[in-house]
Amino acid sequence: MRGVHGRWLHVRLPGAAAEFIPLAPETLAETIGGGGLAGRILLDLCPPGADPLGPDNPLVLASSPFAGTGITTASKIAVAARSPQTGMIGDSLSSSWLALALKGSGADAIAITGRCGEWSVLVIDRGAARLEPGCDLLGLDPAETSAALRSRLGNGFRVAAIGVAGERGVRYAAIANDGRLAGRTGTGAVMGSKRLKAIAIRGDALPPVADRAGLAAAARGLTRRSLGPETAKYRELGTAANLAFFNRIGILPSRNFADGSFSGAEAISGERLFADRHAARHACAACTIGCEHHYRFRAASGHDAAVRLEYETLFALGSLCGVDDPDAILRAAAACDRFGMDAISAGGTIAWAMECRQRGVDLTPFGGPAPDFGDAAAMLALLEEIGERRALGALLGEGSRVAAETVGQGSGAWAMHVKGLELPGYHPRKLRAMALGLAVAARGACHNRSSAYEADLSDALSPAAAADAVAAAAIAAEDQAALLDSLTLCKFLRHAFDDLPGEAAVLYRLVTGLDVSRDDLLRAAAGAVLDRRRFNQRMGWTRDLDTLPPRLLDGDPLDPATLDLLVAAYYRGRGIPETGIA
Amino acid sequence: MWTLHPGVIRVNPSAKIASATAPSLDLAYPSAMTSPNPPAAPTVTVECFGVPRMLAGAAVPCAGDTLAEIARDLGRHAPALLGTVVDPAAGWLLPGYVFVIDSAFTRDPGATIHPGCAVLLVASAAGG
Ligand code: SF4
Repeated sequence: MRGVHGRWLHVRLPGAAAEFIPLAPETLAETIGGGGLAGRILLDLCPPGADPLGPDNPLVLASSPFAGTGITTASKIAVAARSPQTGMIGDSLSSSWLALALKGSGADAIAITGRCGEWSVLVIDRGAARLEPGCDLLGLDPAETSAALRSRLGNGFRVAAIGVAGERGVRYAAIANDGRLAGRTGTGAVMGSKRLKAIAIRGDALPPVADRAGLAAAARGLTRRSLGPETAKYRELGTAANLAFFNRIGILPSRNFADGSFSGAEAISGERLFADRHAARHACAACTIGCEHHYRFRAASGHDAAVRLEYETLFALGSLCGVDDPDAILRAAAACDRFGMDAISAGGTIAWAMECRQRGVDLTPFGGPAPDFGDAAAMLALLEEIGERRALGALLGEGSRVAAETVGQGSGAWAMHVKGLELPGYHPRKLRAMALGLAVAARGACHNRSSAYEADLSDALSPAAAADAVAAAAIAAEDQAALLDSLTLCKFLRHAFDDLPGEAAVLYRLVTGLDVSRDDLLRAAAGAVLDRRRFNQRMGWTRDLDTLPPRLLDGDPLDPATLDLLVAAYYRGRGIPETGIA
Repeated sequence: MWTLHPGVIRVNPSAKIASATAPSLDLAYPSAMTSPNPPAAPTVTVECFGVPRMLAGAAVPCAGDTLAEIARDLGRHAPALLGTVVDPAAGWLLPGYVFVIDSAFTRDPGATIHPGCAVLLVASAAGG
């Protein structure tokens, strides 16, 4: 098999003893790569019941056959571990130069187990692993850490780092590289629990592909299509374009999902931000779309600054918290980047605290009073407390599920999470397929693992569709996401394909030389979803976890019985028993 | 008036593939329609979101009994949409865009319009 190294690297801490483990071509073909491969290695390596913040929990970084081949948007890595936020599978994707360094490292994946005695940096230099001291980097943000290490280690290194949130065990801490985040499910806290401040990788041993000329031609064609109108939304405005439209159709989560529209939406809309504050556009390495838009704001210091802003950050730190001040939202986004934490979970947990205040639940005994909805200054102060895990931030750094369990007083009724992961910016009240997708997603409430909203926001699904049709749409969306994550193609490229699995199979053949069909890829993608469910099962999943927060099951229009029918249809469609899969 | 970053593509109407070397567009963010000649008898106001809004403004009054007629009128009254959102040759939406009529997403040119209905224009790449 070409386009891969056919082995992964197991690094055991504290000594950084490293061993290459062969990867059978069947395993690679079965999992495709990327997210599928990371999930399979995690499934094989993580003992049942492993403490997410203990030494046995593996931290897996996986590459894919497409990474480093010149296929647009494919410079991505998949990260996986048992999530300290959900107890279930934690997996994320990140992009850019680190992915190229990993692909060139001589291994298709790296899995790290154990724990360092002192804060350290794991250096993987052309496949050779060693530890360097990391204590001097404590307190630095991910960008500062990366800059310090690259100047210390020399040319060619790319760095994945955690910020203070990861050092201090915020359960939704992220791993950052090249200005991008593996944001959700707290893999940054897992890295911090291993006392790894950073992982620095250097490598240029890209494996040869099967058909170089054929691949170059196909990649050029895809690049041309990536510049067409199907991706214009991302290129021109970025995901922030969602906000005004979602507000108009009533699916913009506001004030902790109490509403689906927000009176301040115009002030924080992507179109308004672009007009008033657009500073720059960037792209991940080897991407021709370039969806990364940066916006100007006035920093607390009084200086002008700019920060990358995505829709999910905009909604979570904006409408979800009732905040309509663009400067405050951009400062909050910068704070999440600086501390290295997931903005969706940060905003979702703060919104839970705001509703505590609204409902008269006093959080003062837990570290301090909660702010009112719309109190931008207090939201910014809370983000600092969360990042440093002090005062009320110590509680909120646990995420809304644990915070509600700690506080009690019925506050679980407004903790808006699935399996402990806070909901993304799609109010599922009007989105049936998305509601189901969120309920059953293995990593918890997630728009990246279940893009079932696409069926709701199209003519593909009638509002009167039966449960089996809704389930089929949710399954197809989940499989498509798994396919893209395993190929490590960006989701923003998906509309540039006429037949994603068919065209991806052609590319896969050109890269690997394997005779893979579109059906093979679809089967592998579904297999990756099932691997995640298998992992969850091993970690204690029960059927009642495939549900939605009570607020969304109040009969308007979803109720528990209706969701139950949808979830049952999902299991039927997947061909798995309701009790879980072996 | 804002100038968009390099990379804005004006679509070649005869091909699905955009030209990467086309010049940048000037994007404004007008709050009303951009046409100097509004239709005599508008039947609906098309509410634009995302790139269409940046190019044409938040709302463009259009006349037509079907979406096909609305799309053609859109191109007439908001010329900046031609080649970017509306295919000038076909007079219909380029791939990548969709109408929403009273909450129903559609690219059916024959869909009928009645006065007072809500017509939205948005990228068909939902979400992000
Ligand atoms: S479209 Fe955006 S997120 Fe995707 S690879 Fe390109 S720059 Fe990165």
